[in-house]
Amino acid sequence: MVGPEHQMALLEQVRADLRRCSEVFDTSLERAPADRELPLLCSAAHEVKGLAATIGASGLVDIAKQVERACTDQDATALSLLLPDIAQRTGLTAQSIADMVQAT
Amino acid sequence: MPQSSTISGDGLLLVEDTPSLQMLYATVLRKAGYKPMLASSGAEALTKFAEHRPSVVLLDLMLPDADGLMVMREILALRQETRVIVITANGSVNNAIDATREGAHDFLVKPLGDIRMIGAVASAFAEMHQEVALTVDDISRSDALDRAFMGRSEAMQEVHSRIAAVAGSTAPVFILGESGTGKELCARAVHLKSTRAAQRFVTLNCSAADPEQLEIELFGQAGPKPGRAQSQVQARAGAIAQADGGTLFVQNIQDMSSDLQAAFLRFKQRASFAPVGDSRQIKVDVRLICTASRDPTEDMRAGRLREDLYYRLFVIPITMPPLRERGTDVHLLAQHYLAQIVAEEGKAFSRFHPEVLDLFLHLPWRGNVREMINVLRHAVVLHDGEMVTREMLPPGLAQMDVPTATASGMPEGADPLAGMTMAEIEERAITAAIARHHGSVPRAARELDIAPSTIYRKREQWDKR
Repeated sequence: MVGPEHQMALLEQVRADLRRCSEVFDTSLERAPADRELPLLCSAAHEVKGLAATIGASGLVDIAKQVERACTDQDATALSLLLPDIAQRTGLTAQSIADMVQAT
Repeated sequence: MPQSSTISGDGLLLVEDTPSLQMLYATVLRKAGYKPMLASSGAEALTKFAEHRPSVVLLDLMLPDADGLMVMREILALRQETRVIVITANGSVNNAIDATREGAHDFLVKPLGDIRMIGAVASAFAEMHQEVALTVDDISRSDALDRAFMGRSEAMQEVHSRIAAVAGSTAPVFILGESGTGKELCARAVHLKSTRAAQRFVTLNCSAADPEQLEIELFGQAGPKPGRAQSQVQARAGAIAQADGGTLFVQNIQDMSSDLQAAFLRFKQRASFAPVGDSRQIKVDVRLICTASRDPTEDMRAGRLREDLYYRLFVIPITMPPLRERGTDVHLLAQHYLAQIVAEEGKAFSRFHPEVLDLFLHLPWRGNVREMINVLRHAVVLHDGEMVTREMLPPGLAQMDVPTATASGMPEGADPLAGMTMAEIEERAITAAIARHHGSVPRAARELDIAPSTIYRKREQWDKR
């Protein structure tokens, strides 16, 4: 979608955005289910969904969708099951992008 | 070569809260020649909108501080003619469909393809205040126009014969019709079939600018006068000058201010005009085609449209029929737009399930062709396959109850009309139609293809029994 002159800056920004969302997931994981801020989680999952779709990370899109739905349904059980997965995948994707930027 | 230029290419506002996506979309837009203003929240979007009044807004529906739909409503309340293109993530398309029902011009689903995004923005600007010239040599455009302006229904045949009859004349044409019925296509068809087809077709939307700006867009502006101190004012050709020799298509004429209507009337009477800031009259030869989305006689009675101007312009009326009155044209149009959307979205759909075709025949299509395009895009974007089935349509339509008919024309299963007299069948059909339209007799009459007065008369007879 963009020329090579913008690619590095864009990848760096995608990494930063994913890292920010990943921190939201990590913070939620540290909290008890009743203390989790569902609107914040939902917003982060929605953001990850759009970002992951844009970079072609379809697995991450799927889990972000599930987290978003669990937040909307206020399904604490589903969230407890999904949060570790999305936190890990988001962090890994951010790290992969960082490695790619560094290697270029 | 077709001549083309933009009368007014006012701003574009991009509202996206995720920084990398905002950066990506902005880069793509800049590469295509746009200069988007950027906003990362609903509040920032509304502040920038109020300050700059951009013509087109690309709006993410999920914002950190506000519901995108609310932001869109506020934008449209501030400037109704703004073209808002909503952006949504895959899985939230129903929100986008809601947005289009509330006035969004189009919707885009993440991940956004650059061609689709630029296409949507270009189309929004084009519809807002475009000038597109068509020449008889421009075969591809002519073909596209013919395909989009298709129709075999009696109502469309009437439109076609009216166009053929007026094309050779220079008399003003006034096109009436609901939003989305193709008034602009009709105007282009009149132009293309006229002897002016090789000249310019210039569009001016009177709802798209404030009165001062509209005056300049219409009459143009004179540059600095020789011998005077250097002025910042740049000379600018208006729509009338650009349409000299060709056709000027004026949309929503009733939205012109009363002063501008008076000036426009003088231009119509004298066939000459003076640019803003100049007193010299310039002679022109322009054919006028006007439209109004409301009944112009009502605007005239309410004082919003000058009577003398109305009678000067309302010489040959053409009424574009709503889609619900065009019978099986619905199928032709659906097939045409399905092919177009499939090509844009890279999908494989090529046909409709008979149930969908039957449903399309019965829908009220309040948004006309524009609504149909949104319904088709919903189905194509969210699904894969070769045949569009009922389940793929937006939920409200997929669940809509449409009577199925057997080959004999009777409903399937037991015949509920058996043993009834013709008068009873008639009463039942009319009562059911009124109920379907929540008590609206005119709508029920339209569905039954009879005059509302017939229904009122019948009701009186039933009451007397």
